[in-house]
Amino acid sequence: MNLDSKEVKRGNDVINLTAKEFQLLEYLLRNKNKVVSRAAIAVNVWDIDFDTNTNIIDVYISYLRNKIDKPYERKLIQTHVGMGYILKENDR
Amino acid sequence: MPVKLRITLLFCLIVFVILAIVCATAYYFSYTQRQQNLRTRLSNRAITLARLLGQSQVFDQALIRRIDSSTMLAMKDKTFQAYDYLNKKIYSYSDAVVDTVTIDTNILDDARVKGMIFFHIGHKEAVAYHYITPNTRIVAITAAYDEEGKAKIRQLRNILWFSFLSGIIITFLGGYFFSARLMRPVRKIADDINEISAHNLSGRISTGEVKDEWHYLSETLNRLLNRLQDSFETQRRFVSNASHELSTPLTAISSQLEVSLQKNREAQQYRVVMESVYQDVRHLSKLTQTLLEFAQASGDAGGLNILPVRMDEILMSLPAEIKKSNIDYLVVLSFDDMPAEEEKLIVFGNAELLFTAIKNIVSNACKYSADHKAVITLKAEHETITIAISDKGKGIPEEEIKYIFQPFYRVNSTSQQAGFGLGLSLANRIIKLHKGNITVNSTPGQGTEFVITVPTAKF
Repeated sequence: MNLDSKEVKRGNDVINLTAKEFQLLEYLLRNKNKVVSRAAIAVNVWDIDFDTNTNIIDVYISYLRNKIDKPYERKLIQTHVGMGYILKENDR
Repeated sequence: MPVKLRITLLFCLIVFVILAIVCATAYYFSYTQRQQNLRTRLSNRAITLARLLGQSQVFDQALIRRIDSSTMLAMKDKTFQAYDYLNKKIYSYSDAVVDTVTIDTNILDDARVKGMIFFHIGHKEAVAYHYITPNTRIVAITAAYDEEGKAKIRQLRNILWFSFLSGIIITFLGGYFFSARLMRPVRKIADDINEISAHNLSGRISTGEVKDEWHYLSETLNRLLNRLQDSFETQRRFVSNASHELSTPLTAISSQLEVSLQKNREAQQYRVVMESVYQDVRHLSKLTQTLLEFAQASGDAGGLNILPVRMDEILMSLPAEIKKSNIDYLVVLSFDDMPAEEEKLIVFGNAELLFTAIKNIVSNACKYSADHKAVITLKAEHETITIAISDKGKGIPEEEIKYIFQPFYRVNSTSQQAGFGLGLSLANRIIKLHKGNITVNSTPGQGTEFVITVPTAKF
């Protein structure tokens, strides 16, 4: 992930992300191998007032998964039910 | 070549071909029928003659000649001859005494081979018939001039020529008048349009009484002229409003500078004047910026940078942007049901313009409500994205709603709020440019809701 050119690569494939998806991925990468809660994502990525009961974070995680994980066998973003999300390099 | 002449010539060509075919066919059939008729009569006569001669024990030549001379065949200059197998003339009869006809031996031989042949001697038509019985072999020749038939054919030919030529002439004249009548409205419409120019757009084409295609064309052109006149009017109003808006701060600047230059002043006083001028200049530059955006959003999308745009991303960048312009303003995003497919959030358009459009509406909502708060909801439905911006402000009087999208229109003109009255107009133009629509629901005293719908991009 190149923060300056806002370019994301997995292997040799360039992945096009929108601004918000990029920020979300950046946040997940900064907290690699840590479970991050939805609340933490909302505060850190969407530092704005949101209505509660919104599914926006889950929706964005799914957009991000579609682009980053779907074409590949190894899934990087995983859900921890009831806790949040985690980005892990390898799944042991 | 004028159209009416072309139509006329086409008419003439068609009629020419039809008449030519009809006349030629009629003439050909009459001609062959006459010939057939004559040949039948001549060959009958030849057969009779040969049979009579073959029974020479019953009919002698004098008797036969008497029979021949008394036969009414309605033919002129009849000549009958008969030859035996040695080509010797055994019988000869002619209506006219001086009418000597010599038959070539080739013809006789030919007749013996084929049985019956048709040929011409001078202007006469002739038949040679080979008659064979166990006792005799006679070649009988009958020749005559078909005066009546020929005369009929000549008459027919004259009639056909006459009707052919007169048909062509009638078609030409008729076609010319018809096409001239047909083309007259075109000329009239063109003349009417020539009368109308950019300076005199109020004129219209007279549509006439009859509801035909010309009427339809004239009406279409009139509708086009209506639209043209409207847009000219709008343009003129816009230019005059814009110049007025531009000249107001310029006048303020110039008078302030003029007054302060009248005598030497304290540095503090210059500072006050300069700050005031600076305010005006900022105002001016903001106005010109808006006018530029306005010009960009006017007209068609041709010159714009059109790309797939994620609407949710645009909306998410709004709260921070609005807060930048005024710290008191609060924008709440309410994305209750986001679609699972991100394609439903993509619009083909210009991101900057769409951002400007929504920002204008949102900042209006914040500006004209006491709590300075606007709520944006996003809904992605079947092929359309609906963005609703609602506030709890004082609302817009119902009779003014239809004017709010006009350039330089401001609700409650005495309002103390700063602004040009261009924001909503610009937003409307931008959304229209993206084939979308804006509707307004407002209850005075309770709040206003702007609903923007834009079609999603189709891949």
